Amino acid sequence: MISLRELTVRYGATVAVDGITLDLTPDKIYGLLGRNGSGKTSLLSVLASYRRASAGTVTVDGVDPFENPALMRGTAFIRDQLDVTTQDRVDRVLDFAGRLRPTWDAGYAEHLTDVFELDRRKRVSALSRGQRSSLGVVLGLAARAPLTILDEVYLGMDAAARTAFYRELLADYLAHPRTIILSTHLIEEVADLFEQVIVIDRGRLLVHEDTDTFKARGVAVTGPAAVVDAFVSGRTVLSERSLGGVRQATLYGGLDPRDVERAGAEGLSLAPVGVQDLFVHLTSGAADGTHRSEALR
Amino acid sequence: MTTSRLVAATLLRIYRPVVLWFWTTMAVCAVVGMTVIALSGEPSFSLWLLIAGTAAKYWLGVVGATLVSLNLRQFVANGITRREFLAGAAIFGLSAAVVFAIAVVAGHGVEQLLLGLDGPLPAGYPTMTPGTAVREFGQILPSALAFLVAGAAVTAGFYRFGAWGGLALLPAAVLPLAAAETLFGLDANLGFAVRFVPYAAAVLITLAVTALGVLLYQRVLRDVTIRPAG
Repeated sequence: MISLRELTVRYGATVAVDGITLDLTPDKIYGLLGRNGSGKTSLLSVLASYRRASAGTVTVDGVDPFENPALMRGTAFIRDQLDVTTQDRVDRVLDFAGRLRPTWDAGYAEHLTDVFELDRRKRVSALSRGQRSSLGVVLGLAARAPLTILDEVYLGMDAAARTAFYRELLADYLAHPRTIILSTHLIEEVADLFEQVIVIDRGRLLVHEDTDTFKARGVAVTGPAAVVDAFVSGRTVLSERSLGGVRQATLYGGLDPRDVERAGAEGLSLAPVGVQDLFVHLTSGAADGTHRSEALR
Repeated sequence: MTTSRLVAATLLRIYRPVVLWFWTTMAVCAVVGMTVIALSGEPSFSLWLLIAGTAAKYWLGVVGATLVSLNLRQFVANGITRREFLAGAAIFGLSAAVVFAIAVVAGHGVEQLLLGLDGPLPAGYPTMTPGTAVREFGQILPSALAFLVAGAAVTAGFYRFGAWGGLALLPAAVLPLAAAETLFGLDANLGFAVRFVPYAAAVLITLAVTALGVLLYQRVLRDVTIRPAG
């Protein structure tokens, strides 16, 4: 179990992560979602022992992972800017990881380089942006680390490479269950992989729950404007839009069976909201300049 | 194999090509230079001691400077703790300094042997005996370590604290280098010489200041943030 308690990361006067408390049960795929500058990478850097927290604690099974050899060996953190020597050839980068990582699977690394069509003789500096991202995926997955953190690893990857990445990730996770944290902006593409969703906004934890529960929290109510207004009154409205006399309101919070029945009786249609739409609604600014997420805190 | 030894062995693999290139370059320069000097007259100094003895310590300074800037990130990214990296880097650095010091002394012996093939050694040439060999080794090793540690400590300061913080730390970081350069130098025949204090004191002072440099290096890096490239 990974436990974060009041975790805070500051850069001078800027608070990147603001007192996050969170428990991550092992062997699940987590989707870490947040807008640019929301503190995702800072949070992940602390989890991976790349930096110390300014305040608060991180523990893995009750132990501080910072400078703990066993726990650091069991963590693979792949950032969008790879932590490799760009003058090295791909095979040397993989060999380096193989020498240092006790859980490294060289055969699987070779398989992945074939899947992503990486030329092992090429220098990292000669790889395209997408190929570098693919190399990051190889390093992250072939490490088979109990805690695998992939931070925006898809940058520059074309659709085929991203599809291969999702396929390989899921297949390897099923064969070798481990805790995987995926930080991504391509939410719709990977939402089906997430078992749990973590949404942070301006450094603070907004949501942490099962993906299905999270999805069930969003519902789009569409119908005559006056009926919709009456129905949503007193509920948390994330967004509204109107076209003529028809209005659609996106609600946050599940509807109970009586609400569903009432909506049907009043001629309102209910539709689920995708993870990405829900995320956008939760983290985007309202027309009056306030943050919608404030309503959820 | 312990992790720190694994780190040291991996660093050795990384630096091996440039080490070979360095010593090949030194050997070629010394052979060509000594041949030219011998053709134009009798050499009254050791070109090998002059160029290899000097270049070796500067080269180790560069190695020290690159230890953190080029390697720390990659090792931590592959599950090595900072402490393990620092221990491995210390083993690698000490081994490199010892090997370099031995190579300088051994090269001097080879140079003397080659010069002796053509007759008696030229007057004024710094003849090597077992005693002077030990003394040369004992002078090069502390100098090499001082340069290595100074290079590492300077870069560590910039890596952790950025430009201004690194500059502020610079005077303390270069102290080992300053001590070595002040106390060890060259005599009139371009042989090794000790200045201001007796030989043993020079060695002890240099090693002590170098140890402080190691402490500074360790303090700066023991919990440093691993920054992304660029």
